[in-house]
Amino acid sequence: MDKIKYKFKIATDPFDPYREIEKWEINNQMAAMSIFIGRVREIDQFGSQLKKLEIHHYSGLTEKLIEKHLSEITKKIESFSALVIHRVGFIDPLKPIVLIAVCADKRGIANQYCSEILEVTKFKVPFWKKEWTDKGSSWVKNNTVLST
Amino acid sequence: MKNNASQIKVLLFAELSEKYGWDEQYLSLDLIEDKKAKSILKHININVAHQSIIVAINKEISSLEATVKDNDEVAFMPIFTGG
Repeated sequence: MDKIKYKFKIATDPFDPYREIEKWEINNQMAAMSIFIGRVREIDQFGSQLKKLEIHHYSGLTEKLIEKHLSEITKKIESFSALVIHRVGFIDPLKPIVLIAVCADKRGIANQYCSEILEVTKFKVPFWKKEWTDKGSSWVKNNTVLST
Repeated sequence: MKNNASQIKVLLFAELSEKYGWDEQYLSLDLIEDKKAKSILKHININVAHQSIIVAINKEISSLEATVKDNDEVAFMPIFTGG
């Protein structure tokens, strides 16, 4: 049976990233795997304690844009597979928002595409974050830039 | 509610939807002289900087200069903040 090259899932409920990776690895083991798990910050953009994060998306376009990007990678890279899960709805602080797991035959490829897919989910796909604190709610205006 | 064939569906998302109090409406394209997305935005009184709006037509990323056709789905979205 051919390997599934990539899988993208919108999660409306909490998920366990390690369990998802375990399931994915059954049919997607390669020499290298890079994993990114993004969690909800405890502090909002103004420095207040966060109670919940709310994520909205544009159903239909979200899936289309991520799958298009993943499909383009598979056309360039033979030994590549990726699992991408992104939460929507209300999420508690420190709970997972996004999981990206990229398998490849070389560490450079796995690292490069794990990072690239994450940036796509941040800047190229219609997700929006709204932060809830004791003072009310506010939409996140801009994504954080990539820094070390 | 959609009631004739010469309409477009207009969607707002996230902060735009919250600010203007609606997320979906049908609009007669006859009301938009040049049929451009930017003119639809003006017609529905969305007053935001154009550089802070992302447009999708029929679930394809497009632009405010794009021309819209009957039955198209036109979405106006704020800057994306996922990941």
